[in-house]
Amino acid sequence: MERLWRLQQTVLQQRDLITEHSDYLLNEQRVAKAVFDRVAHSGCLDAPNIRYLQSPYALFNGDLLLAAYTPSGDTHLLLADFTGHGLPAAIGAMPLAEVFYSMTAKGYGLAEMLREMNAKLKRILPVDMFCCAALLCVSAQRRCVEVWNGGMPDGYLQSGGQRTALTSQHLPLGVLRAEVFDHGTQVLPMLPGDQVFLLSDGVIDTCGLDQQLFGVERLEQVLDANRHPLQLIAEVEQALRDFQGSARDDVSMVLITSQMPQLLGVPATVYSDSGLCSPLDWSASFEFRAATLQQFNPLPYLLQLLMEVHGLRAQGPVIHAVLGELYSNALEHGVLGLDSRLKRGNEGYARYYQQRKERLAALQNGFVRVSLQVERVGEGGRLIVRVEDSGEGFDVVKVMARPLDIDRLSGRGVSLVRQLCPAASWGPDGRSATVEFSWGALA
Amino acid sequence: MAVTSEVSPDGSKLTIAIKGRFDFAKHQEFRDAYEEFSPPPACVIVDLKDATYLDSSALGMLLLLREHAGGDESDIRVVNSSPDVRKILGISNFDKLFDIN
Repeated sequence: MERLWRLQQTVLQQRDLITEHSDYLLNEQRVAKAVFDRVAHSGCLDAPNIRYLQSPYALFNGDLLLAAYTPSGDTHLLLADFTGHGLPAAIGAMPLAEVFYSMTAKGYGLAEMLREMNAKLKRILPVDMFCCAALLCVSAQRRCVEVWNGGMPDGYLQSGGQRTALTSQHLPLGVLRAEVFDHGTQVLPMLPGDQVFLLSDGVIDTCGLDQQLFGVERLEQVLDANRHPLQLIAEVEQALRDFQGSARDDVSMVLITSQMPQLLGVPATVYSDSGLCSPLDWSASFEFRAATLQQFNPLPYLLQLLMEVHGLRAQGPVIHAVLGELYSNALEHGVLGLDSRLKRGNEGYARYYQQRKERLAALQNGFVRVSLQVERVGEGGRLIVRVEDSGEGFDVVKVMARPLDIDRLSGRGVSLVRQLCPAASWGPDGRSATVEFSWGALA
Repeated sequence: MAVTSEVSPDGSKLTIAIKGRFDFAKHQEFRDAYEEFSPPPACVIVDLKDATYLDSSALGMLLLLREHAGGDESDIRVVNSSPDVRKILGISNFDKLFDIN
């Protein structure tokens, strides 16, 4: 009798213990999920030109979807898929999101971000864990999209009734050592109104009743039948339901439309200092020579320096965009001697960026010189930026005679700079450009 | 056995064959198939003739094998993969790390 009673007591005790443990675990997961969601699903995902769907397979979605504006008004978008699900996958997502947001905000490009993400994941993840990722920079101003795809299924660029697959060309992030990692991106023309659609493998690996996979062909049938791009995600979702599939992986889809930014609407970074220590009378000149141009992007550093000048902060986005254009013009057309007329049509774009890569790799001589001058003017002040290059120059009179912003893919740089900064001027030999930004008394 | 391993008579080649789904469920068996050889034979063959499916954790297992076999110095050949399996290896560009045919 007593044995029976003891058995009963033990069973009850263990039941309570299990309940307690389970509550504890669930609560832990709830808290972790709240933190994760804030890290992994923030940024500008709710922007009007971005649509997305994420269905969590486990409590934590193993797919990571991030979007953020660059200081010059482009959009960076990352869709990533860690090996595994749940907590292990979510842990890797945290540092990735940190790198994505902080480097995007500072004005770094895809190449620098990819190098940093890969190195970080390689360092912290176990050997058998990695992260498939597709990273985009959508620029309505420059009318193009820059893509890197490592291990994600084909994404699709829909441009003027034409569909181009954005195929994986790289190993996933976190596999290769920094020395052999390839951050090479593809640049394709993408006009305002064009779309890119990205998806995770959960979509094509959705398994039907007879163990058949949904597959790429069925997906492309949905893409073919689509008439209104904004309905696309709902149509794919419907097709998956009709297929009576059960997803065995996380399912994520995102559709981004290229849209001109409201540059002035982009909020300037909030600074933590009192606003009193601002450098107001100085000048500096930098000369970036061949070996530096090959592998270093000086813009984030220059812009960080300029943003120490409080009067310039409100114009940060415009300064970013203008300096970015002037620098890439000086490098690509000046130092590398690339002809922007190449950039007509998809193939021309690919050839242009192929040549850019080859010439940069072979570069022996040449420089881009950036001179900055900040001075007080009454209660306010002004910044004068001069960008020079060692190239052949161009026919300034002819280029200036062209009308602004006609709908073409090539020669965007000069036109964009003139729109953003009407006082921009070019030296007669076409080897230097000067722009000026001034500000009035600060409140 | 879903994972079998066999060393060539001269000890220079280890062949690991996988049967059925190559996924996380085979984690331990796959490890056991090569971890007993340390250092491993110069050449490792992963035979996927009878493998029906391969998921991302299987890719992770291949990376572990590669590490064990000497990383960049390793000589690992993935053979007899079905078109579906080869597609998965292709999307991840694993042909940059492994000899796949």
